[in-house]
Amino acid sequence: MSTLHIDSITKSYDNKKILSDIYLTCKKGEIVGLIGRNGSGKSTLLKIIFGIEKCENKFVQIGDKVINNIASGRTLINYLPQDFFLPNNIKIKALINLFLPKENRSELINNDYIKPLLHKKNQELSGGEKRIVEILLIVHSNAEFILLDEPFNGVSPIIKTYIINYIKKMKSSKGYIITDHDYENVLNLADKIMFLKDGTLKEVMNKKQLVDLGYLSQTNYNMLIEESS
Amino acid sequence: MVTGLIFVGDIKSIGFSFLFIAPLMQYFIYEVKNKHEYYFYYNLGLSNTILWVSTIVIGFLNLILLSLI
Repeated sequence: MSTLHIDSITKSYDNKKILSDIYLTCKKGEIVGLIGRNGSGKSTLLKIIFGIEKCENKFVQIGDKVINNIASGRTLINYLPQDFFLPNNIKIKALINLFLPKENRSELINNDYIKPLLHKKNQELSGGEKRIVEILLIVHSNAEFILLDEPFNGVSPIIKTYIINYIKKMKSSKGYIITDHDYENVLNLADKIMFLKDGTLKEVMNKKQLVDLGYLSQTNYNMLIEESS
Repeated sequence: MVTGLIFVGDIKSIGFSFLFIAPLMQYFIYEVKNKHEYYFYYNLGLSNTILWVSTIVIGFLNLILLSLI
């Protein structure tokens, strides 16, 4: 089974270490949730893994292949940025044909949410519609590992639930690393939670630890426990 | 192409204008206005360098083709 190995990632801005010797693994079929306060470096870490952000040191490997840049990660890693990334002025059906290999297109074309949008241009879609198209495109790509940076931005609760269930349904074929400001979404989805603070990454073994780490207040934690029970 | 027609008018100049207009269009459309759209191409395995080089190569190909007419 292929595994994404991330090791020794170090990144500084203006002599301040944002990421310090980060180590992380993600197996195929696993969802890793990455949480941390605003500005802790979650997005930067995902961009470094994807290969678009420079850093002092990094080692990213999938199976036997070392990923140094975007070209070497082609068909292995895909990245969903925080902001909308699909080109305007192109119809959704054409974007699907451009983005996905032939064998993966039909499921998306027949999807109930995508079907009514096929003949619309990207710029004619609402924010929520754009997001669902982007997420489903990325999820259906041939990449073995998917990096999702705040996938639920601007998405209504019903679509959010749909996306969470969809990713869970599709998770056996890929590995996912996901970040979101709404920690409940991440906790809901992830098999393993990693907490990024002061440039270092720690695995969170239980929800109570999030209070000890200063990520959740006791009130947040009590609400979380109430909701889950 | 339009500048080629306006300022000189012959086909070779139109070819030359592609060399300037294509990179300028890429700069204003992708670097300034819609920077996030680069992620679409990154996900297809195309880096910034590849995209810029291909724009310039296409400009040269246009110039060669139009020079041959």
